[in-house]
Amino acid sequence: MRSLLRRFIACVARLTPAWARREFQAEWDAELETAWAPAAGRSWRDRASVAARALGSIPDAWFLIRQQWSLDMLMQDIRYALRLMRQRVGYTAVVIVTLALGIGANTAMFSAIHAVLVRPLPFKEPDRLVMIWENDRLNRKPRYAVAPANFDDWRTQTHVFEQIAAYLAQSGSITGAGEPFHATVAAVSANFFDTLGVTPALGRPLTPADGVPPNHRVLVLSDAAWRTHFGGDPNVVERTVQLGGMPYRIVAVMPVGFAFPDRTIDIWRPFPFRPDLLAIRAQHFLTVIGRFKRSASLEQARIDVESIAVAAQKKYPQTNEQRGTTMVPLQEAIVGEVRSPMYLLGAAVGLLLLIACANVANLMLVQGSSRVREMAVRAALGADRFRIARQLLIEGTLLALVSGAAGVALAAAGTRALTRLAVDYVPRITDVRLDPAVLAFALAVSLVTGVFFAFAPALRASRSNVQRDLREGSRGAIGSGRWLRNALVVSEVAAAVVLVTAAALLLESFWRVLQVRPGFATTEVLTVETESSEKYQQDAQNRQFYTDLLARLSAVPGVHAAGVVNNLPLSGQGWTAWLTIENRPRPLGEPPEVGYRVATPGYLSAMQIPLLQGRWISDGDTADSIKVIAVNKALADQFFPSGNAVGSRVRLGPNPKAPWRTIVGVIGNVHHAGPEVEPAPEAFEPFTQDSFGDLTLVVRAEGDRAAIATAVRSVARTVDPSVVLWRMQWMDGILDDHLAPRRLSLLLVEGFAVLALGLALLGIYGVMSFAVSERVPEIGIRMALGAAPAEIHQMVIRDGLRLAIPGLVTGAALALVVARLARNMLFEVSPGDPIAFATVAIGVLGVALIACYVPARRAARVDPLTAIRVE
Amino acid sequence: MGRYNITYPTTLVLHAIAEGVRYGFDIADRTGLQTGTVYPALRRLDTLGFVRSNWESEKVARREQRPARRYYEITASGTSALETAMKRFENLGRLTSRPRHA
Repeated sequence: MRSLLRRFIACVARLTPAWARREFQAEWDAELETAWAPAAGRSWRDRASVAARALGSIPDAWFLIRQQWSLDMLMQDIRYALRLMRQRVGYTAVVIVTLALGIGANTAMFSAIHAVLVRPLPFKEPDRLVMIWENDRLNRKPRYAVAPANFDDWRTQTHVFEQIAAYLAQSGSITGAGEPFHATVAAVSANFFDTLGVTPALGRPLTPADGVPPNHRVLVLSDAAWRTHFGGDPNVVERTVQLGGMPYRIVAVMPVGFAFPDRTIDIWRPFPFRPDLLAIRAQHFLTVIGRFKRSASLEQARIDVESIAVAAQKKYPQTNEQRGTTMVPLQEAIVGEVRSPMYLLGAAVGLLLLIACANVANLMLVQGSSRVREMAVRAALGADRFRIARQLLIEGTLLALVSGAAGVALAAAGTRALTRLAVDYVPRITDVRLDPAVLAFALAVSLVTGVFFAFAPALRASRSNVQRDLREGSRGAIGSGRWLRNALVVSEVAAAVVLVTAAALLLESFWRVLQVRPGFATTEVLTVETESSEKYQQDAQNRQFYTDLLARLSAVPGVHAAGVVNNLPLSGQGWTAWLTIENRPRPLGEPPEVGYRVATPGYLSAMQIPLLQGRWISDGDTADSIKVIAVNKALADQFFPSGNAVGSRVRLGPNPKAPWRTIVGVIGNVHHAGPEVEPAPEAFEPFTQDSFGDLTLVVRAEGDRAAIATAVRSVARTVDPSVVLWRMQWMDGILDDHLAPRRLSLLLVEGFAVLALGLALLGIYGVMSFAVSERVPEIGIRMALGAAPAEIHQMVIRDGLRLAIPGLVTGAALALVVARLARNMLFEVSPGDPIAFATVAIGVLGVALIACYVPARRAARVDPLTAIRVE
Repeated sequence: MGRYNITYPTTLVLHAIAEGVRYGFDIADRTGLQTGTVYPALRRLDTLGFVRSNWESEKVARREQRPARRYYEITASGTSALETAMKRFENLGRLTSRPRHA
């Protein structure tokens, strides 16, 4: 019984802090022993009461443990850590800068990902909102615009949706409100705002009556348009302005931050869905959103709409046989495209932080080695291992918190820059804020970082051997930490290799995109969007205006050619139509669809698109002459593989009574959707023989760009002072804008890769120079025994490569996995592209050699006599 | 010593020491408190500087045929702290009576 009590006390004593343990055990042993002696011969009850007293040791031990963590002691550790930071300013600065970069980049990226991808859309119950497309199986376009009749079927036959709304993008000039301006307009069904669950900041919501002509002439302003063009006038509601020459009454202003379909929208107006319009099944131009009932699930909603589409396939095989539906949550529809680039960048900054941590951990280990004796002295003076480890953890945490604060400052600047760069390409990016979630993230990252890089030295400290450390000082502990330092460098190199490989693959993709010939001239081509004047009620007058304008422009000095097209390359706009070929059996169901554009004779030479066969549209093609059409090579190859395109007759559109058009020529393919998108079959009609929407002027001119722009503007004004010109851009600028998202992610990854490589270089350098300095005596002996400096030099380099090569191999394997995951960001480059991988391997080895060179030279210069004397 | 308010049980422990009870278990006997209450109170009084502790000499221990025990004594600041605490608990009335009649 007595020995049992003794053993119990010994067990409890083990829980107490080391400085109190011996006395704790002695005191409890003595008290119990003393209490036991008189009880020994007596009843079990007395003995039990003594034993019960032993239980008091547990609260006692608990008190001591708590004392260990008391604020006093913690403050002591913190004060000590701060003193150390002041003493080692250089080291502290390097650590803080390295970590602040890592934490800052991560915080910035997190705030972007949080704002764009994670935070729910600012609509009522946004998880019930979806976007619905037609799934065009014939042309393999799963997200195809919706025909009005199909939209009407969905909204009238659904059992699962509360609301289904549609909209389409338009534009028009607003006059009668001070300075006229060109407005981006969303024409929406009257339930559009109800579907989203948003209400205007000023004025009244749209009602179903607003969708019925003639009551549809009302407007809703965006907050930005209201402030910019109406001076934020609170009495703007009920004012009347002209949109495209027709009077519209302003009924509402939307709240700030409402930006759907996107942030460019200035004006929403109810779209009059007349019965004849709702009967259209062969033209697809609506975007459809829906809100399903609270009782329903996304899957039920999908089945609901799909079943309506399946019924339509049977009922209208001419138009619907190949058309299903695609339904995606609204948030996914808005931000889905930027998801993978953003996650890729997130992963990149994560790796960067890991590298930064590894570097700092290494710095701490090296510092730790020089502090071994300090730790040993503290241990000898009664600090237990736990206390020493805690001291190191506190140092780490303090450093990380300071770095975290600096990182948040960097992130604030970084997100501002990022927002400015990405505002046109990343939806919702303007919502990026340093909100509590972001700050919590930064704090968490900092703390985890602090623990991470303090962990290694703390682990070392808790395992150290006091006697040996006191005796041998820093020298004794050197070998024991080496594997850890090496492992850190290897993983650091691996992470850097992943980043650099990603950068190389993206760079190669970008280079390949730049190599693609877009099929048209990008330099010396000025483009201007025009909006035909309201007074031209008839197409003929409108055409006369453009004919006059083009004739006068050709006379301007420096102008080589001028033309007009309705949808510019890279504009994201394009029309499509059914293609029927004369004397060829029509395929079952829907005929194939091709793109088509309307242009003037000057367009081909203005854009320098090559003519491959036959002729291009000419001045002789008038409204009264025979109907002609020019096709691109893709169309000719696909539909006339035997080369007999020219002279064949085709019909565009669903109307079986429309006149046949004779193909007069074949022109080169134009990458209308961007260099990275394969050109599709396409046709061009003379603008004299079809109707067109707003036209874009294309002017090929040499000379001073500003002067040319001014000349074009003034010529247009002389022909018609009321013409609205907007978005004047040079073609190379348009191409630049098109490539900007790709360039942006490339630049960011590139920047991270350079940082990573720099950090890896520092890491290898740090470890190698430390290894050399700890091996000075050994090197001295080697040299004394006859090793040549060159051999020593090689030995150090070899040691360095022994770190770099495993890192390189691991990193390359990881990079291959990452590249496969991010394959859709690559263009004509395989994820395992040998050129990229070889370049990275050579580059990283080169960096490793540079990092080893200085330590190796220092090693080779060791003087054997001095080295041995140190020992 | 600054203003430290000590709890009622801690005051009991301090009072017992002031009366000359020296050892942990004896303090428990005198105050009627559990050892699990007495010891943390002793640690706290020690940290506050109200008591000091020491180990008996081996000689005394051997004479009484038991291991050396740790004994506690009240300090000057402990005496004044006890007075303050007594005043604070005066209204409760039981503080002084209980140990005396024990």
